[in-house]
Amino acid sequence: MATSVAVYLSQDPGLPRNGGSWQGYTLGGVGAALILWLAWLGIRKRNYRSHRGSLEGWASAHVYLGLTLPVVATLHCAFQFGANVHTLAYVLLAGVVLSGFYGLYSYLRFPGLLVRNRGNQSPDQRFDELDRIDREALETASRCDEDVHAVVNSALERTALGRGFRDQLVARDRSRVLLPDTGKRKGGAAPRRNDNQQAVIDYLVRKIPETSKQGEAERLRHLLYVFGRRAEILQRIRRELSLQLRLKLWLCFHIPLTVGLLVALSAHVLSVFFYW
Amino acid sequence: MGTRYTIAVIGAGPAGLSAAGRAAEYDRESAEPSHILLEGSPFLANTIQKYQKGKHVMDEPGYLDLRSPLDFSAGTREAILDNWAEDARAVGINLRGDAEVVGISGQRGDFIIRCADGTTIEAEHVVLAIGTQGNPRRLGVEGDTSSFVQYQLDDPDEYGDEDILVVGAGDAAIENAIGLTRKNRVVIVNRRGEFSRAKQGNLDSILAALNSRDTALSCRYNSQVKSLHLPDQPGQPGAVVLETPDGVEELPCHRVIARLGSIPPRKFLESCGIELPSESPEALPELDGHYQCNVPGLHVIGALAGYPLIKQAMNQGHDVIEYIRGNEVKPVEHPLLQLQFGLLPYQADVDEVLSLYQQRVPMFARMNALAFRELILESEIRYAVGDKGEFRSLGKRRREIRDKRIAEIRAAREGEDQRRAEAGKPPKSRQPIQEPDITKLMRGGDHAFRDGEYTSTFFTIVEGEVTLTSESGPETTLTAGQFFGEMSLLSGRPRIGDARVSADTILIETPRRTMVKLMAANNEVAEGIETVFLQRTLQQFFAPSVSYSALRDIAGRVKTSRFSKGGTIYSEGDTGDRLYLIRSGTVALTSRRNGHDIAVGQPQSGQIFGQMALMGDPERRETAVAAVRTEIIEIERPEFLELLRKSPDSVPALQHQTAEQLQHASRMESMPESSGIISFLMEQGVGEATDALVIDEGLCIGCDNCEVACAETHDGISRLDRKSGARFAHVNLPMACRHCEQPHCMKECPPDAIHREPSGEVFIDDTCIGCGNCESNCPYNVIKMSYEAPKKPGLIQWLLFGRGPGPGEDPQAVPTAKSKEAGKKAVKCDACVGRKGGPACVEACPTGAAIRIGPEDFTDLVGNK
Amino acid sequence: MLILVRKIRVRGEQVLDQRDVELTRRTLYTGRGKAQHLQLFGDGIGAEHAWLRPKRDGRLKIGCLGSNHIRLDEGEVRRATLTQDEWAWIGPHRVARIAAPPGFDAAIEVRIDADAVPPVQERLRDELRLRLPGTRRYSYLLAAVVAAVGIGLPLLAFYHEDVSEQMARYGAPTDQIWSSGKLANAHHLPSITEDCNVCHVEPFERVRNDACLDCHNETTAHFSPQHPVVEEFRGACRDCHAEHNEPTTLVMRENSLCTDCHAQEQERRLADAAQVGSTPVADAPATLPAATALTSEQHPRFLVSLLRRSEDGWRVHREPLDDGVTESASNLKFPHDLHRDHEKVSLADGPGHEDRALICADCHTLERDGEHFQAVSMEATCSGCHSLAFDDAMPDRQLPHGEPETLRTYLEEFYVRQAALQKRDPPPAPARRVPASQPENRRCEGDPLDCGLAWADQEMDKLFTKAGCVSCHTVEQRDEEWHVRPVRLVSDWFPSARFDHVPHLEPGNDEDDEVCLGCHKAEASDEAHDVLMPGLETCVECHGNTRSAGVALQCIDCHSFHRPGMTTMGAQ
Repeated sequence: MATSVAVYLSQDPGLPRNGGSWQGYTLGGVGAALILWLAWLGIRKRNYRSHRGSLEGWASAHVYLGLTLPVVATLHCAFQFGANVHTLAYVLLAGVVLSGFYGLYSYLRFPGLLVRNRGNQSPDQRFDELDRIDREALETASRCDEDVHAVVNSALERTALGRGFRDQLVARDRSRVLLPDTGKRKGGAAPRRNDNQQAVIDYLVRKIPETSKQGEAERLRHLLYVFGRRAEILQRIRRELSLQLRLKLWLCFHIPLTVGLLVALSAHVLSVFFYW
Repeated sequence: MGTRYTIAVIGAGPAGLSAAGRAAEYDRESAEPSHILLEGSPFLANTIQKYQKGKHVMDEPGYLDLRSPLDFSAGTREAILDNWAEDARAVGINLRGDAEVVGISGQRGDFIIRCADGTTIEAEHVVLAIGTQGNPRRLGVEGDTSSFVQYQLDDPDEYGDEDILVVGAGDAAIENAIGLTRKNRVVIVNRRGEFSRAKQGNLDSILAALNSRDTALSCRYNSQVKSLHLPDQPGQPGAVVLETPDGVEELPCHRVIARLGSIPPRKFLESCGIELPSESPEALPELDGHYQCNVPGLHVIGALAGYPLIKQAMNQGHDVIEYIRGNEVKPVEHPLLQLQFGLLPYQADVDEVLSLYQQRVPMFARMNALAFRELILESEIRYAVGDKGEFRSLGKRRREIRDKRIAEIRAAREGEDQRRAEAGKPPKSRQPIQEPDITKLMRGGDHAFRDGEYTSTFFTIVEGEVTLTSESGPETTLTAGQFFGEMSLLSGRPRIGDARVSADTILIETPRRTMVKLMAANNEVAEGIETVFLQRTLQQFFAPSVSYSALRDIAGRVKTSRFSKGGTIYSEGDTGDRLYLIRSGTVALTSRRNGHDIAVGQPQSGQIFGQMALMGDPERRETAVAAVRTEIIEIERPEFLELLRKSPDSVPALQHQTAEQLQHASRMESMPESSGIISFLMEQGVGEATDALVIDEGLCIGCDNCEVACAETHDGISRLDRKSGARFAHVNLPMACRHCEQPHCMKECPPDAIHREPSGEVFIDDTCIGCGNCESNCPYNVIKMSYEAPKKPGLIQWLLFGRGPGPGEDPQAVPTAKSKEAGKKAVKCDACVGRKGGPACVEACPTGAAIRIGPEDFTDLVGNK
Repeated sequence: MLILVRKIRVRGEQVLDQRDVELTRRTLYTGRGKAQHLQLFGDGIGAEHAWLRPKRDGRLKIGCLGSNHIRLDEGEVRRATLTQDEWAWIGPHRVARIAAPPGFDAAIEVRIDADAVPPVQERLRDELRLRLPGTRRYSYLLAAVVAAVGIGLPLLAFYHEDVSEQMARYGAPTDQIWSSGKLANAHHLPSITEDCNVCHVEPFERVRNDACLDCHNETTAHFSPQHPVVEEFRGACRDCHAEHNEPTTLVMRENSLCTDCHAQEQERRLADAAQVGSTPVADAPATLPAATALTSEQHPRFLVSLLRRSEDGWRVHREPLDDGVTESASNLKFPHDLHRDHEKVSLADGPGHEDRALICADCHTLERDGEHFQAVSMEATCSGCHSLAFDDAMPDRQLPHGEPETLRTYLEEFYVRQAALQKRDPPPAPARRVPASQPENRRCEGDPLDCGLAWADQEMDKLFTKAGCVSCHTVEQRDEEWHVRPVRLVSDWFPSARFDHVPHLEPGNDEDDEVCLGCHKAEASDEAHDVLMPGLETCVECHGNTRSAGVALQCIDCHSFHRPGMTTMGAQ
């Protein structure tokens, strides 16, 4: 980086510094080379037979050289901007670098959060526990009276996880539940919102004092616990998804921008020599 | 009075059928059959009949030719059974079904065979080929022979709405239990803590069934049947008393189904006057070279003779008839032995060499000749040549012999195929021709093994001498009749010290699995090896300067004890009077500090612990628990002192070692934070690992590049599963092979396809036949059976046009017809053995989260966090 | 209608449990989706699988959505109408219309295969898949846009004039966006700014000279064509002129542009500088010494223009300036030192002012070009002191400043008139005898014409010998007649260099001579032929490239490439 600055300053005061001078061409060449090399990581990363340096080394080099790139590019353009392809390339480059920064940040931050969220349980184990607890719920419910059973069933069946991009990102809970038809609402029993299983839990809580059947209260209490636990697991799974998503999201900017940059770069070079 | 036959074959299994077939061929001329084949069940090959439908039956060992009037080659159960039925008819076997033999009496010339239906048969010679399957292992409690207990379940659906107790944890038990739950309430009794013995599929289904609330199935782990309350009359429910971890439990049930494997029918054999060498229930009758047991004229072949493999059994069937007919046929493996002895400087004939060697080695001297033959067949003969020129010429000879042999095999196969074609049969599907097993040549002064190698073969010296050297202690020179290499054989640890072979030495190198089998069968061998192992271990640790033979009596006095995973060896606060030397496995040392158990050390096999008790601090400062199945040598004060007296100069070394351990312990104590992770790893069995993949979740960005790299470097199938790895704190232990010091997968591999590199990597070569034993044997589920992955479009195509699934394993991959036909093969991590950059997973990790460690690195793992 | 949906979970033939749900609607939908009234899982069941509509006639109408289907005994169908208790398979489950219990308009029984509930991960595989935007798609999108904007449209505009006009009208990006910077102000002409191809004619070819010369063919060249040595000079405008070159400056000022050639000694020809001002050049050094930078070592001594009078008139001689040695003829007498000496020469700015010494500015007036000074003239400059009065009796009588003949004629007319007047009325005889030599004492005794001529003669001699013309001019007498040597001043001392006095004069007091004397050593000069031009050293003192404090100069600060008097670039 220092050298590039030196090269920049070495430009003859006699005429304005810019990409036209030989220093300009040098910096430009270096910049282009850097861009190509950095982009090459996409290939190198997937070349599993190569032994030229561990991927770890490549990654860190990618980061550091990626940091120098904006400097080189800025010096190459000598702080001259305008409404033209050249500045377009520069803007794209800035975009790539910034997204890269964000990527670095998320790679530093989110894994930790994921670890904390997992709480010594692998996602698979979580899902297994969820299945187990669901079976438990069903089993208990099947011994409870009819409408409880129905509610529990629908609650399980209509539990929502993940779904679309936004839902995953903000870990939104779109669960529904069919509460027994109170007759007030027409159209029969209709799905109600069941965020955090709250609707069911409320329902169970309401239900417990009403019951008279022997052993029912105890079963309901158990169901209550089960759904409490269930809500927790679901929440953690949603968070897992959201974190995973956020961990990888930056790439969805980084890569397209990079490709765009490559094209813009070639446009830049082309135009410069087309109108020489 | 029944009819009289020359030869009576009992048991229509492969061996019996083959024998009867051979006999029948001799009877072609005579009008009356001079032979009879007695079978207790109505069918031929009852055992194979009981296999589940469509099971693929294998024709191991591949190196052995088939010599039998009946045809046999690997194929489905049905194909083979039909084939045999047809051939039996063709050769005209004189079969009597439903004739269960209950007793044999008499001598050569006049045997009297009593059947269950009272009829008797007279025969001059008897060939006993009943195998062991007919004789299931019993519960071993009062009333285990009553109808209340059954050892066989033909159709689970014939019972309904019953309480049934299934005893056993093998595949048979699991299949039965699950089958029964369709209509009944089942309790399965497992002697151990998990169903590790079962194949993966069965394991999954049993666990699923146990978890499911809808199936009426429950399990009693670590439980055993204590006694039975038989029902008053059949059909009535009885009860079973179980010994469970939480005390005695009585379970009422309608019937008990015990699937505990099978053992030789001892009672029956003894009733026939056959002597068994040992008391162990697995003990088999001792036979001479003609398969004749101590009762003259009574021959034993097949599984009962210690040959469980079908092809061997059939060959024996053929040979035994020849012997009875008085033709000295060479057994089918004879040419193989010739090859093995091919380059040795003897004129003698194979059998003479064999008996010579058996005499040479005291440990093998009193071994069953056939078993020894088997041993040699499975071993390699190594010949260290002194003279260079001779070495070269022998090498040339060897190549010639090899080419000749291969040409022969090829010719034989073509001939057979031609015959089959004429008979209108399809050509056999065969495995490719294997390298013939010819005397291995080495130069005098070469090494049999070097220090630190992960090899576990067992060497026996039959000529010349071998020098053992280790950095501690003097050279030991072994001569003909002695053996070495037992340390790695027993401990699974790398070799300690070098073994240099001097010129004109001949060694028998026996693979581990063969030795293990042998030791299980033959106490004498087991004890012999055991003692020497102890002597050499003691020598190595406490008296390097003393020759190991001088330690014989001490070795006799120290005691070896086994602990299953989680077993407590001693607890903090005890007063100890002995130190421990780990023979195999790993021990977790924890010490209790303000209410928390802190891991302070994890000595592995070949290390000592608890020595402080004998070095001035009798009180145990920590608790020792076996982290995995562990074998420990206990050395008490007197022996210890005697050892030190024998070689006082070893004291400083011992003290130094102790000091290091204490230092390590205090370091561990100083960071209780990490101890959680250590205990987690221990709990996950990493204690017995030598090279485990661990991912630091704090760095892991979930890019899955490790898996992808693995798949890309291993023909499209990833050997590691990052997501479903067990997690603790920031540590993720992916599903990937840890290359255990005593690999569970390596036992019970029919084609012996699992090997260990000298550098320690355990890998499966492509002779795998996909039997799935390793998969079910692996306690860590890191071996999976899978089809060969189909070809994928290139990377660039994917990168640019998204063609194909992209790099890595394709979960939606559809196996090609070819690979389907080839069947599933076992795949596991081979630690990228022979890869320049080391394991691909580690090399491909962009953040350095993935690392490979052994127990010795645990502290580093947590230390740097 | 009020429909009873009876859900019966079965495993094989074994009934596990049963649940009834009431719905008030005509049609109910089934499938995997959560919004379905009848949610079913298992292989071959779509998110929205089918609708069920109980008919009044007791039958059940089923229609499948999308590519899904149901199974009847006769096989797979997409829609069917079932009679009561006729079963249809939806994946592993069965559905049929059954007799409605009292109070219900219809009843549907669903036999749900209990095992068909896959684990969550299975069931929600789709939902649990991370919904990362497909990078490939966006990559191509962005790439396409950039390619179109950055390459496609400009190329289109380049190849199709008319299209580009259209595009420009709609504000679409044309090849304008390839411009790497603003044009120099001089070039802000619509004809240029709107059409790149005015200069950029051929793609991938640098701008040709003729593109510039279209307008600039009048610009003079650096030297005339057919140069003896550098005829292979391929110089292109763009070598020294950079366009689109922010901050907008057209001229490259790098010395290297000059020193490329001038680092070596160059042969030069008179033709390159035929005359200075109006004076032809007589001779000049045949070579142009090497010049690499403005230091006393790297820059040749200045070539000064010197005047010499030869028989065929004035000629300029270009010679290296050598302080105090080189002289330049002018045929004038002018000692700078005397004029600057207050004792001898002083001037009062007017009545009331005390008199003072002369300063440079009294005689030298800077031209508008800031480099040259107005030529010093008798009328404008000297006559202030040097009056042309000659007769004390009539001080307002002025001699003409011109050719001697004119002067003689003037004098003769004057003195003949004087004599005639005396004749007409002679002045009274003086009281005592006075010498007749004094003009005022002259007495014309004879013919006044002769007297007048004689007197004029006397006056002429006085002017050319004693005081008058002779005090400034060099004069000579040939065949009885007085002559003044012709006068010529150097119009341009350094014709091939430019120098601007203005920045050098201290702003405010251009009265002060110190500034001028700093370079022009006037007080030391007592002869008119002295050359007071400063030499290289003087400039170098401040402008030497080596001097750290100095104001560094590029070649073109003094020497312009396009030299006046040269042939035009077009001619090159």
